[in-house]
Amino acid sequence: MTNEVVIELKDISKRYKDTKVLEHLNLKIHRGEFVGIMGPSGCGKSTTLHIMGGIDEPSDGEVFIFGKSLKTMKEKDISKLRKTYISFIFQFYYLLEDFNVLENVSLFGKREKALELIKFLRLENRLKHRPYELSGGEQQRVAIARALIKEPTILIADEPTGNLDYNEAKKIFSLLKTLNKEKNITIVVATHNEELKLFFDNTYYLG
Amino acid sequence: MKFRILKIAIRYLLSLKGSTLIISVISLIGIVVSTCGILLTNGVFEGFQDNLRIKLLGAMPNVILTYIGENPRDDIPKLLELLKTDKDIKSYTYFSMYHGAIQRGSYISAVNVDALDFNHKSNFGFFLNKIKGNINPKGIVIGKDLANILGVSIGDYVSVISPVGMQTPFGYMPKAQNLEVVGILNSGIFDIDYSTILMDHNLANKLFANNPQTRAIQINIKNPFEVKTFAKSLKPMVGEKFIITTWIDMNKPLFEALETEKRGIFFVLTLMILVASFNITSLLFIKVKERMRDLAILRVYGEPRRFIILIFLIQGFLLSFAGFSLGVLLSYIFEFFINTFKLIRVERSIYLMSYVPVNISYKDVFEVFILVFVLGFLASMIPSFYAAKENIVRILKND
Repeated sequence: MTNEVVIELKDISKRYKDTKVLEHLNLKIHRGEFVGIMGPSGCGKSTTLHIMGGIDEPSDGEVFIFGKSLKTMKEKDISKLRKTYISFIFQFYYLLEDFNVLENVSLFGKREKALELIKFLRLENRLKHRPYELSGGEQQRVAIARALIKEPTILIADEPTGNLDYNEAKKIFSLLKTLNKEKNITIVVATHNEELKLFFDNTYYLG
Repeated sequence: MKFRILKIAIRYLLSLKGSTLIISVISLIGIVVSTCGILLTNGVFEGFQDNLRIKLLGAMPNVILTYIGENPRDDIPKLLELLKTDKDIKSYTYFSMYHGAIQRGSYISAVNVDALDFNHKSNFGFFLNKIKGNINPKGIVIGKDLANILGVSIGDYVSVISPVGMQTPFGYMPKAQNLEVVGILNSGIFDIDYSTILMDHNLANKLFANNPQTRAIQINIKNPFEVKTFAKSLKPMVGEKFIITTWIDMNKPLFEALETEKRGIFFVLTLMILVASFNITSLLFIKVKERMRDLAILRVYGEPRRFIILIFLIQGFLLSFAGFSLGVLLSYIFEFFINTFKLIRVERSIYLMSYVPVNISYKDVFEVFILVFVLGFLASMIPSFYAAKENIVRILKND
């Protein structure tokens, strides 16, 4: 972990019509930090992550990635930023159903790198399997491989273990922790599972 | 990036997910059928026109020079001498035309009398092979249909009546002469076979007092399809004393009518492709709906809207391309069978041919190509832009 701030949320508020989801949220995340965002369902964890990753816009406030305000950037530049530096993992994996494991990963990077990651995540015997032929844990590992193939600086994970049992969840978190340590990836995870907070360097509570 | 888009587009197009493969096949069949329909219809028109041109060329002179000067006795022989030296000319015939009537028993009918030199068979030009009987300068040759109506055959006598008659104490009397039918002309053209008789110049001059309605020279050239160039080269030779009419001028209204009809039908059949394109639109909308989550992920991972648009535009293009290619292939297969087995039969006496050949021209294939791709592109655009416009967060939250 360094002192370099990679993500900064400044006075962020988010409203959907009359419903306030976030109000005056301020947050700084440093390079190499493993951050947990916790809170009950509906407190705005996912919204915070979406805003952080530039896939949603705040109603008020400003988001800075590597010190650059997303407000001043065009949509295509934000896409470019995501494509180069930010990866996502979701609770429901969102793998492409028409493609097998290898394709799901290699579509987002080089084939050799995909094979390497799949091996690292112990999925080499599932290369040609389609997502519906995999267990939840395996699907999430494929999603992690997909997230890692472009060697992101920031990894945003929205309830990555929400669909898995505790043991499987622990394995995934251990993996994320290893990646955080070995590759110095900044990881922001939203979860409501208190037992997993021991993995985080810092934990923020919402709601 | 391009190969990735192509890979995703092909995978989505051939996906067994949901019912879209069946709809893809239906859309494909729609384009195949409409492409084939337009090409074959145009091919029939093209084949009919080509065949008609050839038949007409065999049944009429390539060029007619109609005399409009004041001094035919000098001008016509002078021109005939000049024509002898023209290397593009295959044959030529001088003839004059009169209006008269023919009578046998109580039946009388108006006729065109073409007078030419019966002593030289080459003067009959394209008529020569179509005349039955022994051509004799003292007799006449009459059209087949006219002979049938009059009930005459070779060796029978008919009365040819000239409007150039004489004044008698009983009033104006037309001049008539009994002449032997020495030949029957079967040109295959109803107008000629129904109302034309041929007779020798000398005989006609006496009967019609050497006062023809028209004096003309029929010319056949070596390459009838170059007739326009030939007519241009003829102009300085004939001056203002002759009107030049080519076989193209003579049949212009017919071919223009056929071309207009072809264009009209092409336009109507375009609607078939339009309907087939609507199928592509519906298909792609279904595919967009089914792949919303995938599209959201692609965008979350930084793919621009352009990437999403291209995935669906390529699918529309691939469908159009496959449909068009199969349609063209099918059209050529049909063309082969229709021409080999002469499947489109028509009445020879009306159309000058016993069957209509199909001739699919490259021009038509190119026009249909443009049409299929423009309509296919437009049909794919709406769902493609719709896919790219969708809000990522809304899709992810709905899941």
